[in-house]
Amino acid sequence: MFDESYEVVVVGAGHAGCEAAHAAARMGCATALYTMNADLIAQMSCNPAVGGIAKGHLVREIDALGGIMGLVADEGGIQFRLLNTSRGPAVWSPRAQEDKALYRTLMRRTLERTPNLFIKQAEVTTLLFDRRAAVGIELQDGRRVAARAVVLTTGTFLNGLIHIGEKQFTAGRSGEPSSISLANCIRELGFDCGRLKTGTPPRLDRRTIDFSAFERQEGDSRPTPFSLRTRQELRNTVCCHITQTNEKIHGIIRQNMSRSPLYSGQIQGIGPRYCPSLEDKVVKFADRDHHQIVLEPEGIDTHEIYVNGMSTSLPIDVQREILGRMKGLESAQMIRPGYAIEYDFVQPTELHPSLETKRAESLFFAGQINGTTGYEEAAAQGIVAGINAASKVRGEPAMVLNRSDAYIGIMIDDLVTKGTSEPYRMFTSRAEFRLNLRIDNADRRLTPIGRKLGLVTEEHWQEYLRRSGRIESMHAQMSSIKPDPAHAFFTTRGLDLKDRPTIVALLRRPEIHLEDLMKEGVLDSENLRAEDIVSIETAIKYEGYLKQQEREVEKLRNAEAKRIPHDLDYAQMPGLSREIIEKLSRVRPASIAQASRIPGVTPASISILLFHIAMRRLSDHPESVV
Amino acid sequence: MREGLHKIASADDTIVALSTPIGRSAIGVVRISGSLAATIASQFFKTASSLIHRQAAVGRWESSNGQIVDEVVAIFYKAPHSYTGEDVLEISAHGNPLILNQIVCMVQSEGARAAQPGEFTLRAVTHGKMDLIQAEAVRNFIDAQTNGQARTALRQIEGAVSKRIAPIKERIVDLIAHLEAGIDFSEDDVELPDNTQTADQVSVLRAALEELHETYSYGKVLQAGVRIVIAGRPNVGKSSLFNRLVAMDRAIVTAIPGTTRDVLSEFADLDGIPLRFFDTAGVRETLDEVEKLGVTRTLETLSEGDLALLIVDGSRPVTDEDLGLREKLGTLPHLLVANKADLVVTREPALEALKPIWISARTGEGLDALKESMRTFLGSSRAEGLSESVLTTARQNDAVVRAGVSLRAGELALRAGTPHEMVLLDLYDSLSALNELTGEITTEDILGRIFSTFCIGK
Repeated sequence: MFDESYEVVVVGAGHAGCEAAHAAARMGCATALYTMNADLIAQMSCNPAVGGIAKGHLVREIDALGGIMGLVADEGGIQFRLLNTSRGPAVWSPRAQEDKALYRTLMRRTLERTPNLFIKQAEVTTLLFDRRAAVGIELQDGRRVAARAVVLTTGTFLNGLIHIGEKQFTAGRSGEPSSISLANCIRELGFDCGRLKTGTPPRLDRRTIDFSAFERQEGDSRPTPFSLRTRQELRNTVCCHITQTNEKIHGIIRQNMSRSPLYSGQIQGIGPRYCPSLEDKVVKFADRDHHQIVLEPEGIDTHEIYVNGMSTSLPIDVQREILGRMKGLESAQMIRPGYAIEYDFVQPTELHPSLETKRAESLFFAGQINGTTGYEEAAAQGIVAGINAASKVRGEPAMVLNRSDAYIGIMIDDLVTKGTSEPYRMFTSRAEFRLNLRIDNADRRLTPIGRKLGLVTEEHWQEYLRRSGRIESMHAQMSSIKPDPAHAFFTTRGLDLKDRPTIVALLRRPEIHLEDLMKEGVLDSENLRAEDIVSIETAIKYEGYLKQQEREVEKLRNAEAKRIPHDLDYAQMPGLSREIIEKLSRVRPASIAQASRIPGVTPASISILLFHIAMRRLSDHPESVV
Repeated sequence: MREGLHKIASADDTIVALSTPIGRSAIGVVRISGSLAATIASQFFKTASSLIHRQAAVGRWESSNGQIVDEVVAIFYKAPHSYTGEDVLEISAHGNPLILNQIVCMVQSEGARAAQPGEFTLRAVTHGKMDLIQAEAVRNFIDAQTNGQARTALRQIEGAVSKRIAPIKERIVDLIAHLEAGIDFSEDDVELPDNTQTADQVSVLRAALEELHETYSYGKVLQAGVRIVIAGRPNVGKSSLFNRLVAMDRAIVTAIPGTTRDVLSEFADLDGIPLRFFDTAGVRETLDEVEKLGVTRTLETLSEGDLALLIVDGSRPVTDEDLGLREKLGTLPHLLVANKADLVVTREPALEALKPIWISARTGEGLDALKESMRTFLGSSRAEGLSESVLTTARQNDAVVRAGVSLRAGELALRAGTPHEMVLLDLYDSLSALNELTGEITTEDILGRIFSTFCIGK
């Protein structure tokens, strides 16, 4: 009946699929990764960069769990910047320009070196079920592949439809076919599907650009890696360039608005508010006389330049006209035009927090199919889906990260609790416990979890233990050492240490930094790494705020601990309005905390829920009556 | 933004509520449940005996500076042998809404929070104290949750108060959106807010909350009733007017001066505002011991009143005793009422100079004018409290105070140059507190504000 058999099958080899397949294989499952084109594994279909504010956090977390995006992005990176350093360490976030071709090569190499992982080129057309559980897939050539768990990471391929001006054609990405039969299969299964839209800007030929007209944006002199495991030296080999649009350009856009598929009604899908097309910006912010544009190289061995900020679906002749009015781009040649793409997604309220679907057992979704956008968001879901697919095969409980554990936990909780109406992107403002979720403590938060799952290699684990040891011994030292007040560090700064404070007490002062203390010889610390210093200093400097946050985390934990039975019938619960019954039945929250986050669920209905759970426990265990 | 948690009635807090209906009654019961019950009792309840499980103790409920609030009976139930299964303290005090409210506030000041409707029952169930057959309790609980809360919500929470809170919340959301945009979109050409300016804006909002908090002193009164004391020399017709105002023959009226020796009180209604009228003993120098006691009571009642109606006999010349009593009112606002207008042919110039309101308690003449004056008094001197919104419950006041405290902390942090992601903790705390009172603001709303304010996205 089946031609081949694997434990886990992953459909799609984008950023979600790669992490999912790697995680499942690392956890010991025989894993097949299906892609329509094995040369385009880990293709960066939009901007040539990984990370960014909040996204960089996600990459660190993936890395801490034992994922691969961080290592690949470090090795494929050609310019590195740590963002938000003018603020506190909780919102520092790494970002890197990537060489797209190199990124694909490195990711494919990483996958090929992963035991139990097999790359397959074929189009998956149908999912196979036994009763309500996924048991395999069918390929376009008719072959059937058995699997004990299936992970779908289809990106923009499901019913993908590209728009450029008045023209539209089906495609998964520029130049690649879309998946129509698989999309139909998912709709037929009854999943609540919707349409989303995203866009990408034109790409230019570097040789035709006059770079002297732009402001340069350099990388950091001391690059920050995504992965704490990265040991090779990171180097900035390229530079980005900043410019802006002008009123002439805005005038051209206004004149041609009727030819924009966004405004002519041709596009039905909802696009992201935070990543608007240039025509959107001009319409919605009519009072602004300029918008920022950043030119980013797509790689070292190519002349292709990405025009960040100019995402558009206007016709090609209008795109050309716009570029012609931009200083420095007057004679720029376009390699590829910008376009908008519409695609199917499934409302993520269809998912458990494990990313397994509620409708079908052993079927997992990750990435853009769940309504998200971004490579990092996709990869973060990919690793979770891969872990939980493998756990399912092994008969182990699912891994669910809490909102207080990780950005990954926040993203998935948001998705499965609230669903989404526009492409979901991570922001630090979504994290209510933001101060605790830093890049410098991602390993402390997540590496022990990854280790327990079997995802963190022995080498990675030893590295983690060494770093923890360094931090702890430094902490111990600092709380006992009282530096000499006569040291030049203090006398030159006019600091009076009459009360003989410890290093810890000194570090509480905003103007004193651990790095300076070490540089000027107040403290000896030859083996500390840059990321260790940040971890140590942050814990001391912001102790008050961190404690304030910890109290709130405790409240959340209590509410998370109040579990809601899976089979609770909300319709049978007196006192709940029909609207609330409908909301609760759709999400089927796992805990009181999750229920309370569902929009529109009232305090009164939460009390009723608490009441019924308590009553039910009573009837199940009458002996508990005091 | 922490979402949802405020919707969950935390089972770890100590809760307090007035367990008897608000209004005039012989006894009112305040119930406290939770681990702090005993500590709170030791703080305020002064008794010769000690609190023993299930035994009533008589004692004084005293404020922290030793002032007596009321004589009360307290019963302590040790966990798990109580209604809720937790430590419970039940305080039976006199049924005066002001006193009961004060007791509840004192308990809250020691760390208890106002219970939500049905929360005592919820705890009883949670702790396995409820027999399954007691299905009735379930219905009561749900009634309390749905009807009770909905009613309260409609009348107060979603009503006038939220109209005043909503604009403050709007401004907080704006400030948060600006600070957040500076963090999440620092790469996007977003203009950063200035710390001092932002701190000044926070300060303005805090002042607005403080103003709202100040309405609570009046709101409490409004909830419990405005206390209007009828005072005057003996036999000027105080009791007759009292009966007129409360529209029933409650007080005994005779021609003999000094008939009223104890203070009588009764509720009446003026445009929906509960008014509580107090009929007092006439004030004069007297040798009668009982009457003397009455006079002392009158003066005590005056000291707790919100408004006095000072009655003089319009058919006789103003006396030194009349004027002396007026002095005794001190800062208590009053309306001068000249009674027995029906007996007067020519108004005495000395009295007319004081511009009294002329009435006849016997015929009812001038009563409308008196009511109009009371209306004016209530409307104008009480911060326009009637036309505008005032805080009326301890729970509302508590949330407004917490929001103000958080704003203050945020303001100081801004002025100290603290990174914005930490300042935001305080701003979110204030928003969460206000979320308890009016329509919820979520992360999505804040993001929406950012995207509509700033042109974000490359």
